[in-house]
Amino acid sequence: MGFDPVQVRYAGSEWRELVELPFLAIQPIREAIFRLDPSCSLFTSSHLLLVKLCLHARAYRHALPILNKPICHFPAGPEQNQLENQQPTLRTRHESSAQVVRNSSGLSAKVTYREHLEYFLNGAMIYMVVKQWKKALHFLTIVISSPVINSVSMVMVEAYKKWILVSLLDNGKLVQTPAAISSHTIKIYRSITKPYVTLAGAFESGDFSRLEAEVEIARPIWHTDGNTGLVLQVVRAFEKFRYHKLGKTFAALTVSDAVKQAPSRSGRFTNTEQFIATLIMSKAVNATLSHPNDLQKSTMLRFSNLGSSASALKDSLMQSQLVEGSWSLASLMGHVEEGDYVLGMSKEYVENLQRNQKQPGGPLKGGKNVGSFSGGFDIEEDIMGDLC
Amino acid sequence: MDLAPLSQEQLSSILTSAATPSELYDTLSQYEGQALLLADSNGDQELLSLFYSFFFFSHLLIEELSEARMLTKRIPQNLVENNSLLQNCTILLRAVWQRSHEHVYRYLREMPWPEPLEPLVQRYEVYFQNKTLEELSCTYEAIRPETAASYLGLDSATAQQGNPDILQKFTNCGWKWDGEAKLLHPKPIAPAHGPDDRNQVKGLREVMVLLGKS
Repeated sequence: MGFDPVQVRYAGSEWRELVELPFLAIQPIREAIFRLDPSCSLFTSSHLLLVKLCLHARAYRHALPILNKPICHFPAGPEQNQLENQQPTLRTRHESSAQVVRNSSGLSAKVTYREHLEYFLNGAMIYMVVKQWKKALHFLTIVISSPVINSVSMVMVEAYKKWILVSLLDNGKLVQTPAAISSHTIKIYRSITKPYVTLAGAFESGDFSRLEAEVEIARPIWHTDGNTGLVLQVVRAFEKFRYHKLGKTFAALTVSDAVKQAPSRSGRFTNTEQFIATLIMSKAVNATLSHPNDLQKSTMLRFSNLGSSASALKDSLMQSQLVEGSWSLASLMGHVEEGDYVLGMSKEYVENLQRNQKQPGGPLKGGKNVGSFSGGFDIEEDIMGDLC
Repeated sequence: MDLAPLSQEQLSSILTSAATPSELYDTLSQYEGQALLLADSNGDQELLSLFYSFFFFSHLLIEELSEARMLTKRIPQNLVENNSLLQNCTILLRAVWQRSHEHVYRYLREMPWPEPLEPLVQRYEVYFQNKTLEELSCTYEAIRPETAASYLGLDSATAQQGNPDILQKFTNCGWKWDGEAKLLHPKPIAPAHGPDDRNQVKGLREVMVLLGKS
């Protein structure tokens, strides 16, 4: 179909409507990212653009192939003098696009610290929609544990609020705060996000009425923060984690006893056995059910069915997860070695190495042995000497 | 690569040529942009509703329920408002989402699905039944036939009376029937799409090597 630039002037609003359809831009941008860097390990300004478009167009699955690739490099800026001096040859093939894509190359706009945080926060939101809680938690952890100077940014506070909720949804409790966050920063987070901390406390206490009350009191806050949906999911997850806890106390009990131990306060479930069966079928609870011969007796619920015939299937699932993990690990190791090499060639590292050489007690005293990680790649003293 | 224009014939051809549900999903997802443009210009409503319902079922077949939910929100609202087919898709999704097995079977069997969509509807029913059977086999150690039958969309009353045809459906999968206790003893069924064992062992070896390296 031909395009007539004169005719389109008569259909201005239709033209703008078309151009502003965010969905249409997603596929070309994703393809462009993959073509520039098939490993997708280099963070570019296009990454953030894609993730924002996917959120805007509600096309979350389209972002997953990019989000699932670990970010290992950022475009080199002018401050990385060592790399700037080694101008890459554009026509040759490079192992990684990180060697070619620099701020000066124009392939990516200059990426700011805030944009990098936004990418991981938006990425976490996509994982939340598709209910991949572990990955969402990982992305949020990256945001909240990013280095700060004096105070935390709004993006980090938003991430911390979501981190609390996702932590409850994934684990039924607040997970340990990442060790990289200083106690001072944690105090700031907690003071700013009090309603969320209180909600987590109510959830962990196992008191459903307290949880309901906390949800009700802070309803305007959840709404303002855009977290109402997540909070409601936390409330729904409450019942599931009650049965989780029950499994830690009992090896087996009847369904009627289970109801007594963990009564459904929400009143949502009329058929408890069906509800428990749903939890087991969706792999949310590790247990089995057994109908008795006698119709008058209650169904038996057995937790931690290790050794049962179903465990073989779970082993198989774990095996495939391990294999999948091994591929990611292998890819990640390649990038770590590359980063290791770049770090080893940096001016700061060489200066530090020289300082340490002058001091008695070994060439790497006080410094990290950067070069030794890469499976046999050791930096020799004389080579470093030549470089300086 | 240029896509052929979206049409009912093209949709039928995609359905017959896709070897796997993932392939079907991938091909249809390439047409979503075209569909969006067509909807934007108030194009063929029947074609659009057929495309979106095909695409919706392809989501169900690959277990992308969250994304299917989002698809129902991406479909232009003016199209959904007066379209019973797309509204039925949303009703079915709610039942699948809530794991309401009884409703899923009822909707799949009783809702008026258009003829071109029938093969996908039937395919999903078989898929849903098999998936439920796999899950059920790992959930129960002993189960009454009427309960098992209700999960699979079979006649519970007939199963309760010990109908041999229904019982055979379970015993064919390796389940054991205890006639005295009137209970079925499920045998865990491995997922049909499980990865190759030899590849897994090879993969595990590589994991160990990587762990040794670090």
